[in-house]
Amino acid sequence: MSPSAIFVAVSAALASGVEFVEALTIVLAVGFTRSWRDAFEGTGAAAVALAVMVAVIGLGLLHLVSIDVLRTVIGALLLVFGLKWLRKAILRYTGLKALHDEEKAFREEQERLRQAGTKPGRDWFGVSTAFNGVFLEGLEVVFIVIGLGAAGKQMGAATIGAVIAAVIVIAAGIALHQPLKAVPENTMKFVVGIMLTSFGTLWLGEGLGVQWWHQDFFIPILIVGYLAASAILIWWLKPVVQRSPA
Amino acid sequence: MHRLTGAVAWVYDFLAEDPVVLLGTLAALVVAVLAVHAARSAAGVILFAAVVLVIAASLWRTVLSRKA
Repeated sequence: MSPSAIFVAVSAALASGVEFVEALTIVLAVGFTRSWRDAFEGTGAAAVALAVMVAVIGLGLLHLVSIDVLRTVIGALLLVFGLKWLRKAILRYTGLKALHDEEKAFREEQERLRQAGTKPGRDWFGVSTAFNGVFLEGLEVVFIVIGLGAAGKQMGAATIGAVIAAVIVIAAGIALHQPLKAVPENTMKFVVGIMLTSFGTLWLGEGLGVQWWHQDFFIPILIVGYLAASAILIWWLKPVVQRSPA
Repeated sequence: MHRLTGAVAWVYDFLAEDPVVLLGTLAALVVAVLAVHAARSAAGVILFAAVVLVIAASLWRTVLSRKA
């Protein structure tokens, strides 16, 4: 496995892991509040829809679009997407945004599901809640897997990373039977933000004609550069935020 | 029309969630294109610096809006 394939697999695994943890919270809420059958049916349908999207869009892009166009467009999209994750993680580190609380999200989802009540016959509300939760969280996974896989020509590595994350989160969910509140979500989102921003910069640059020093091997340098810049931004903003009124 | 606006808003939220990130990335792209033509050997560093400026500007805007 080449170094860039490893970076792609790790990025896809971390990004997918964060999204799967959030999806698991919704599935568990449906399972405990409505029924496990609803939870599994909604999850299964969403998983099939997402897998079809990865296969059709991912393979289609690889075969129909030239690599230069692919890298420019996907590089720009990954850059915007990575900056969104990085920005939110830095805002959470500095105290400008509340940390995501999986336990609170679980309780709120359960309350919403209870208030919806039940109707006689098949309970489609539980199925659709599980489907929507897994599908919407999964869309970000699909975007990242396709982005990293297609632009880097590493679709296999990106898919393996996402599948490993899915297996770990599902196994942890089955073993613990509760939301994975101990997962360091913000740190994972920060790392994913750095990785996506670095890949986005590299591929956008390549697509535009930038000649990176040692090409793909420049990725670790970009990662270190963005880590350093983020650390400086956190160091700069923390006192400013603490001084300003809430 | 309402559905179209909703779809655009969804894509915007999905991708960026912040106008400075979206417009700043566009500006960084333009800067990179100009840098490739003007100083190819330094274009990578210029793109990296532009991206760091985008994230700094976006964060600073959030701090200012909180102060206001």
